[in-house]
Amino acid sequence: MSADAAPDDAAHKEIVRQAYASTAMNAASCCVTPALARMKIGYTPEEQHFVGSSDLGVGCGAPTSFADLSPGESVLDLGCGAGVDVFLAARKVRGTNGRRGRALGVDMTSEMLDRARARAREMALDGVDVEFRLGELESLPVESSSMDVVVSNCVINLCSDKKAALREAFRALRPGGRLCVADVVSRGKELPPALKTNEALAC
Amino acid sequence: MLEDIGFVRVAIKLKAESREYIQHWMPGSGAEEYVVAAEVTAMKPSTLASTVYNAFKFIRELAYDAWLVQARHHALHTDAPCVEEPGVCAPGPARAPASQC
Repeated sequence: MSADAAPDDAAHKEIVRQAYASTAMNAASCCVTPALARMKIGYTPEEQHFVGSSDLGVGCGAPTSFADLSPGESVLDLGCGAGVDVFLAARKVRGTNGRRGRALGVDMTSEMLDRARARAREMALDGVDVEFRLGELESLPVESSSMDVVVSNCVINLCSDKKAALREAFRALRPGGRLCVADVVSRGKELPPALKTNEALAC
Repeated sequence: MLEDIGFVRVAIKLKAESREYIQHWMPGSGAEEYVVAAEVTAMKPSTLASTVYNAFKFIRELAYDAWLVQARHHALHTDAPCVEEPGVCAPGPARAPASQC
């Protein structure tokens, strides 16, 4: 939640990876919004029903709701987790008349990607290529200038090098492409020590 | 930071209602007093080449849609094969003309 780099990037990254691997396996985890409070995040009941178990309640917004997605577009989700925003994006960019949209999710937690891929197999969406890749936001496994839209949901705050992550998003976007991010920002108050620990910053 | 990287038209919209779910993240920590959810949008600047490319892409897709409408209409009212049948010659983004076309 802080804009400052963590003192030990590798340790911080490992804590984040472990925290989200636990969440992917339905273990107790911090920073999960209870089901009853998720309506406030921005997903409609119909969207929640559509994504099903891929919504783990770890987002803080609904980036596909303000990304103005159109059929045939290509969308990249940074830190896709179990794929909730990839599936919602895929539904919006599904091509018509033979054109295909593309929804690509990147995440550094293989347990999350296992869940996302399993759910994608269940959904079998037509008219769109849905893909998940293992990778880190600071070095995206994505071709340059290949995406129309980059979305992200409460993940960039977890990066110790936020500028590198945003620079990679810039590289992945084609000229004229859009960045649409839901994330937490500081209210301008200094964080107390209890919220500055690696465990809290991994939240 | 976004403008330093090269993004333009940067906009940040704070979500006041986020307090209601941030308070559940680490109960008792008061995290909702320190952070707020936001919707951030930005754009990678267009280049002349990308503008021209997008214009041609739009025209090509428009022409394809027009062709598709008339081809379907034609198939409906004649004994011509339906455009969706495999092997039928069809131009367009995902339907490269078959070799016999």
